[in-house]
Amino acid sequence: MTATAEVVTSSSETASRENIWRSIVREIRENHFPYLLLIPSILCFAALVIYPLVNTMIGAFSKTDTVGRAVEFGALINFRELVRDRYILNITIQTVIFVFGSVALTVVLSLPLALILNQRFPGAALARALLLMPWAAPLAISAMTWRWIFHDQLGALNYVLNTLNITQARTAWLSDPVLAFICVIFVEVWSSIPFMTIMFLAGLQSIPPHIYDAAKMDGANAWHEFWDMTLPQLKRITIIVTLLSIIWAFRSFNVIWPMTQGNPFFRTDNSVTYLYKLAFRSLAFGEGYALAFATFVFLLIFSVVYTRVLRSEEG
Amino acid sequence: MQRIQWFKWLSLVLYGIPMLLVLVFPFIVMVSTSFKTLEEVSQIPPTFIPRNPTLENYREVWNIIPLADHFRNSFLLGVGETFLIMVLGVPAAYALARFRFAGRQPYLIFLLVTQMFPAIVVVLGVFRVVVALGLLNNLAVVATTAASFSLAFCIWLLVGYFSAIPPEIEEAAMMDGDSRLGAMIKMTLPLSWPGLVAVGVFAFMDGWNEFLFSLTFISNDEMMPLTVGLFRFISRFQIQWHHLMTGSLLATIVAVALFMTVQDKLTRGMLAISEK
Repeated sequence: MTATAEVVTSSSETASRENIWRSIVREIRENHFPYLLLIPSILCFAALVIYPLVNTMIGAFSKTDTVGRAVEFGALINFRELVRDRYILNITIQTVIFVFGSVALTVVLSLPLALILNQRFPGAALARALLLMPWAAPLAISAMTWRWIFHDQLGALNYVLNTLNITQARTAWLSDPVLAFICVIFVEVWSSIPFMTIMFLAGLQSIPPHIYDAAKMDGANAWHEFWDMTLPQLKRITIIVTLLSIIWAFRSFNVIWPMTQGNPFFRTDNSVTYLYKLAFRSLAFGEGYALAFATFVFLLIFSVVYTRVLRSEEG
Repeated sequence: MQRIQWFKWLSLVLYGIPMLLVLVFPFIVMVSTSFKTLEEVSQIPPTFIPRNPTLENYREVWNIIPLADHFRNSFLLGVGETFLIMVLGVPAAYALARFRFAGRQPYLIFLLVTQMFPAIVVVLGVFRVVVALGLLNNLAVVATTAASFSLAFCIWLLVGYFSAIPPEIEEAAMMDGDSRLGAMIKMTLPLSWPGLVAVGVFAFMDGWNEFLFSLTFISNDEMMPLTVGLFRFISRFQIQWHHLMTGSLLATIVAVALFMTVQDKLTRGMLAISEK
C-alpha cells in the first residue's frame, strides 16, 4: 500500500479514461445524427427502465421500510429472509414447472396445428383469424372468462363434461391446489398457442419448395420429408420463439392473478404474483426486491447460456 | 397422392378443428352468457344456448359498472401509448436501421436485455416515486410506464420495417438537395407506412389490454381501464357473470377487430425479428 503506486495507477487510469472519453466524443461529433435520434428513447429507458432496475438492486441489498425506502445499504438480510420464507421453495418449483411446462406444451401443440393450417382447404382464412383471437383479446379479461368456465356449479366446462358423459361430478377446478395449478398452465398455453403457431406457420411458408424436389425423386415418404427436411428448416425460428416464450412465461401475471390470485394456499403463485403479494400485501418490499433481483439474474444467465448452446449446435 | 389427401382431411377433423374450438371457446361462452338473464346464469345445470335470449344486459351493464368511463380510460391508454411509442421509437429505430455507429450493437443488446425482467420490477422500482409525487390515479403515468416497457419490442419491429426500404431512395432525394431529415420524412416514412400502422395498432392494443400497471397505480373507479374495472367488479360484489361477460365481450371485440386489420403485417414483422 504505497502512496506512489496509487498515484501511478490512478494517473494511468485517468489517461486511459481520457482516451476513452476523447474517442467517444470524436465518434459522436463525426456521427452525431443517429445519436440525436436515439436520445428520446434513451431518456425514456433511463427514467423508466434503468432507474427502477437500479432502485430494485439497491433495495435488494438494503434494509427497507414499509414503503420500500432503502434505509441501510449493504445487507444480505433480504436474501436471508427470502431463503427462510416458508413458501419460497414451492414458489420456485411452481414457477419452473409453470414456465417450462407451458412452453413445452405450447410447442408440442402448435407445431402440428401449424402443419395443418399450412395446407390448402376451404375456410383457411377463417381458421387463421380464429387462431389469432386469444392473442388479440385482453388476456386479463380472457383469464376471468376462463375462471367462469371453470366454475364448479355454473361453469361451461363441467357442463360440457357432464353432457358428454365423461364425468357426472361437478369438479371444483380452482379450489383444488393441483387442479387449479393445471388450470392456470392450461390457460397460459391457450394464450401462447396463437403466437407460436403463427411463427411456425410463417417459418413453414418461408421454406423454399425446391428442397423437396430432390427428395420426391428419391421417393422419400412424407414422414422422412417432415423429419429430415422440414424440421431442420424450422430449427432457427424454434430457438428464438421458445426463448421469447420462456421469457414471457417468466413474466406472466395476467393469467394467474385474474384467475386465482395464487390461491388456494399460494399453490398457483408464480414468482411474479408472489412478488406482487410480498410488496403490496405484506409490505415486505425488501424481500420483494431480492426476489425480483434473483429472477432477473436467472433470466439473464439463462438467456445467454441458451442462445450460446443452441447457436453453437447450429455450427 | 390419394393417401396424402386423406391424411390431410383426417388431421384437420381430428386435430385442427377441435383445437380451434378450444381456442375460441371463451369467446363463445362470453357471447352465450351475455344474452342470459340472471335467472338463467344461476341455474343448475347451466344452459349453453340461452333459452330466453335477452339484450337487457347490454343496456344494464352501463349503469352497474362505470363502463363508459372504463372504455374512455382504455382508449386513452391506447392512444397515449401509441403516441409515445411513435415519438420515442420511430427516431431510434430509424437510426438503428440506417446508420452503422459505435453504439449501435450495444444498444440493440440493451433492448434485448430490457425484455428479461418482469413488469413488476418496474412497478416496484417506480411505485415509491409515483406515490411521493402524488401521481396515483393518473392515466398518463400508466401509459408512460406501459409504453417504456413495450418500447424495446416495438423498436425491434420498426427496425425491421425500415431496413426493408432501400437506402438508395433516400440517397436519390439527398442528391436532389434534401437534407437527411427531409429525405427520411419525404421518402422513407411514407414507404414504411404499413409497418408504422402495424406498430401503432400493436401499441394501442398493448395499452388497451394493459393490466398490471393500472392495477397498482389506479385505485379510483372512474380512472380504471376496462381490464382492471372488470377485475375489481368480480372481486367486490357477488359475481354477476352475465354483466361481467357482457362487458368482457365489448372490451374484447375492440381489441380483436383492431388486431385483425394489421395481423398480417405484424406477424411478418415478428418473423423478421426472429430471423436476426
